[in-house]
Amino acid sequence: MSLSREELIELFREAPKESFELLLRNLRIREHLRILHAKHVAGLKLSYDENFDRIFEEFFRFFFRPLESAIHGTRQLRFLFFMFDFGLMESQSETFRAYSDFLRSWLEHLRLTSELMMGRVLPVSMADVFREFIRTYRSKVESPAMDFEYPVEYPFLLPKSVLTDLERSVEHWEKFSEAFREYRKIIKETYVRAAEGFIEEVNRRRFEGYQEFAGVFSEFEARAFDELLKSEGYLGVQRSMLDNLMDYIYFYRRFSEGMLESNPMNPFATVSMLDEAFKRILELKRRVSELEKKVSRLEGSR
Amino acid sequence: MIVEKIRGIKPGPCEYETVYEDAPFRLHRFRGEVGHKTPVLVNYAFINRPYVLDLHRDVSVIRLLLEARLGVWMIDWGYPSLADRHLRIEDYVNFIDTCVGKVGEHTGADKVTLWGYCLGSTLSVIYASLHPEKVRNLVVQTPPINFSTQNTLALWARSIDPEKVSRALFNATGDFLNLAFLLVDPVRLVIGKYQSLLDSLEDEKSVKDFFYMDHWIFDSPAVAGKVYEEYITRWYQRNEVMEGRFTVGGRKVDLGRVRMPLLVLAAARDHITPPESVLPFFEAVPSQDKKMLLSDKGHIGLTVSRSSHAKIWPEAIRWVVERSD
Repeated sequence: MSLSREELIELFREAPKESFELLLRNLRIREHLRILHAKHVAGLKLSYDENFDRIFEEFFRFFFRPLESAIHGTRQLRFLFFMFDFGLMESQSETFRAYSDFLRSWLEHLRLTSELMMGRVLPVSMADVFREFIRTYRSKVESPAMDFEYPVEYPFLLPKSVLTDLERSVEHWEKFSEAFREYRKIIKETYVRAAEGFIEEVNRRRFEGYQEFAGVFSEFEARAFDELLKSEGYLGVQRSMLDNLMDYIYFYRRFSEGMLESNPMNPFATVSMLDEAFKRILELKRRVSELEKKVSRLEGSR
Repeated sequence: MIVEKIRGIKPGPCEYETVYEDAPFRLHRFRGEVGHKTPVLVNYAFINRPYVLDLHRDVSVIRLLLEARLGVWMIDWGYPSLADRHLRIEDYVNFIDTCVGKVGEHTGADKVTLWGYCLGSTLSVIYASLHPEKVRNLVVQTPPINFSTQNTLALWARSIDPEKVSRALFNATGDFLNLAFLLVDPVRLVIGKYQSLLDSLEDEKSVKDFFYMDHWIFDSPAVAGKVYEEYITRWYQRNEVMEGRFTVGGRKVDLGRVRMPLLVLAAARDHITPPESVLPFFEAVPSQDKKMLLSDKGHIGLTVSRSSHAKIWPEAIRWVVERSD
């Protein structure tokens, strides 16, 4: 049985989003299983084909997606805010180039405005002062050794811990990406091995009913994953993936917070500052509660 | 249309009022006629929402307790936020004590029947060992007390570093925990379950039951970061409660003090807390009045299956009623 487009839209409004997604994926899984079953009923021998691959992709998308979005980093922002250009944010060199362009256009603006106003609003005696100002700053902007050469100075602007945090976050991101590739590989290998066992079984026996056919497929896969998920190899890869993902998130956040905390004009408290404040409030709350109990005991003993 | 079958699904048919709150925790009292002296204080796991015990009328354990004229109170651990990240298991145990006091203020009872479910059982056992004089009966449902088991979830919990999770995410979020709970048995929970739903879309009752359950499953609170650290490290990795090394406020939790009547409800096909999670505890406690009821269902099926409601629950309710006056 399939669901119409209108039904699916209505269902999206009513059901939890996870249930909706899993239902949608299972509808697609069912289509592929039905194709395989039809082949089987027609007397054709099954072999591992694209239908099995599609089932795999639908099956594990739900689990892989959050991990892949962590690997893709800023790409998820592009997805969420597709109208914005994140290129500028991603590349420091582009930011500095844009800043230099801005300074040049600002100087041009000053030069042209002063020429326009000279003799009308501004006294002619100011002309030399403006020319000197523009000459000095143009030479600074255009000189390779200009005062505005921030990229060279940049590492000294921030506390060292900020850059160390960035370095460590990149390090953990690389390890996480590597572990995720390994994780995906062992999951896929297990799935394919179980699917091959299932193919062997259905090519040996005959399953007239679709439900029995689909049930045997699920049972082959379930048994293979029961074994895999308890294996030493799997536990090691899962641990490496989780540890490095968590460290990547932590150090990237510390880097971002460090940038903010180093700027005296930053008007925001960071989430780590809030966390520390909440910790102290909770400790105070516990002490007040202890004192209340002591007072109550003393009053009771009078 | 499938959507017509599930529109307006609202769990929790039994009415209650909130009598006390200390955010994010709350204490609820269910409305009903009370005919027994000892009130029941239900203490559900802090990892899910407690209304699974009152999902809908046909499978509501709360309704059965109320129909038996028991006074029913329930602790709601709420949805911890960033502000609650530094809560500790000790705070949860202390809140149970506060609730026992509040129930006493309202009813005049100096003891309660403490009813723990899943991780709420672990908290209840800890509380009963620290304050045995305040617990008339102890009921524990699918209780993880012995964490030294070989099920997938336990193996995973022993192989992770919870401090890294808490440091990165602050709290162990509901989405994070849900992924783990589905991934322990991915084929049955992600394919098998939904393929069965697709096989029975014409059956209104099956569709409704399915979505009642899915609403509950995906309504997942975060676990406060420091509680998550303790839960994984002290319970799963060091098995401190079972081994008599768990302390609360400097006091050691001693299972030898669990001498009150004890009812254990376990499920043979429970992949989260298999029967071996409770058997060593059941054997170790010195209570002279102890009983175990074993269902052939899984962790949640014990609560919401119609067969459990026909076989297990009448006996469990009778056991409590007989010890409530």
